Amino acid sequence: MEGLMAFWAETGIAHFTGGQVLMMAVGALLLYLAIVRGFEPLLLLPIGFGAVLANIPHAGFTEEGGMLYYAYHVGIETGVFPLLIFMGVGALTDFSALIANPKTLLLGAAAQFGIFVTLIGAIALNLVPGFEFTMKDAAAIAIIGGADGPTAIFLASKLAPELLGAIAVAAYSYMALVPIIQPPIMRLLTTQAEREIKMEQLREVSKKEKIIFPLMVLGLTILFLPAATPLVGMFCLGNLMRESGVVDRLSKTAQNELINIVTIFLGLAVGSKLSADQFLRLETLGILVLGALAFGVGTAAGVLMAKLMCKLSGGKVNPLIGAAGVSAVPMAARVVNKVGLEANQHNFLLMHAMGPNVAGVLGSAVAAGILLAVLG
Amino acid sequence: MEDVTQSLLDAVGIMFLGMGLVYLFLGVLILGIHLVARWCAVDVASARFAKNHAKSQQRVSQSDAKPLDPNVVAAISLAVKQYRSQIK
Repeated sequence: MEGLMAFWAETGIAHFTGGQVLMMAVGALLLYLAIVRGFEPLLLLPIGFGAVLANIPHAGFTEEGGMLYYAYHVGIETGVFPLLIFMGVGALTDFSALIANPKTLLLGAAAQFGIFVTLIGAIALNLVPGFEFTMKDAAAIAIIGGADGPTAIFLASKLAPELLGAIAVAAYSYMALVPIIQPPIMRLLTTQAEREIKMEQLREVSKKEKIIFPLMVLGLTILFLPAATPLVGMFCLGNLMRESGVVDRLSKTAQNELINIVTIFLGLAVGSKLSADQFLRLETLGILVLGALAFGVGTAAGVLMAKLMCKLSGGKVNPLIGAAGVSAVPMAARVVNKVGLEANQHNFLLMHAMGPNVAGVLGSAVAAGILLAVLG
Repeated sequence: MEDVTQSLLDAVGIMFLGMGLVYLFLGVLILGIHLVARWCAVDVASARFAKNHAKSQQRVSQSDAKPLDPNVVAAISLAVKQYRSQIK
């Protein structure tokens, strides 16, 4: 009988707390979204599984010595994982569309408005009883509007590690929801005639320009915004490996094997932050609401800026491409293409939207650098 | 309440600073891209000119190197003459 009691004391059933069960349900929900709905499965699957593992009683995954503890400690607390992912993203990114039409950088800049409006929104939420966001917390939440997972995780790990789980889940969930969030805002702010605008074909970009581009971005970051060099530097390294054409092996590794391996551990480590005491709070609800606001405002600001460019250029810019300025590569560009095709079946905007889309990646990295420099 | 108001003012300040810096940074980058594009365009144009020039030179030198064979000229002239006389 004593043996049976000892065994019972070691089972999970005897030690479950309500919070743990609820968080396992959250993990299961993330797994469902990833597997059945196909929402950002590469990230939501390991995050969901990490959430389940982190809430197993007596398993010790997240305690000192546990695997998830080390994954978080080594990869996220130090900022290494998001930076390695950023290098891979750099190696995957083709800047041709942006170099051919550099004005689209302005759209990438405009869409960052969502970040800074959300910063104000997060502070304003302190007026509601139960919320107590510091300026650092608000900045970490606001970066969800950058629609860039690694940037959000990097900034949150530096400014508000205790909110990291909720911020990462919100960022990736909303990125998966881009096809649902963006089109109504795009249609609301543009007319049918504007959506039908066809854009001129982009010029061909020489190899030399593509090689110089990452070096130029890095140079400017060194001069003006050293706080952003970890993110921008790794991004430029990946891109230079791709465009130089002399290290194909390294470029392919950064694009495939390395980014895949890091994604597994990044997902698990983020999931380990989804413990009941850190996630089941009023703040999480606030973060989810603010994240949606950030995406919405960013999209609207991008479209409005594109409308302005359309007016100034005499109708040569389709305002829809402004929505791609929020980053979320390449989902946002695909959404632009889809909405453009709905208005005019022969209007393919994908390549034109890739310009603001990759500009958004740079813009959100720069915005993160500014927030780090001001608040870090 | 006062704290929140102060924080809100700070946040508005960060917004203006942040958006200003993002625009400034990306604006400078636009200038940079234009400069590089102009430089590369000159480069591409001169490379194209050099290539075309070399090609035409080659054509000229080819024709210089191989003057028409007088026998071939004679044969063709004879053939043309015969053809014309046949038609008449």
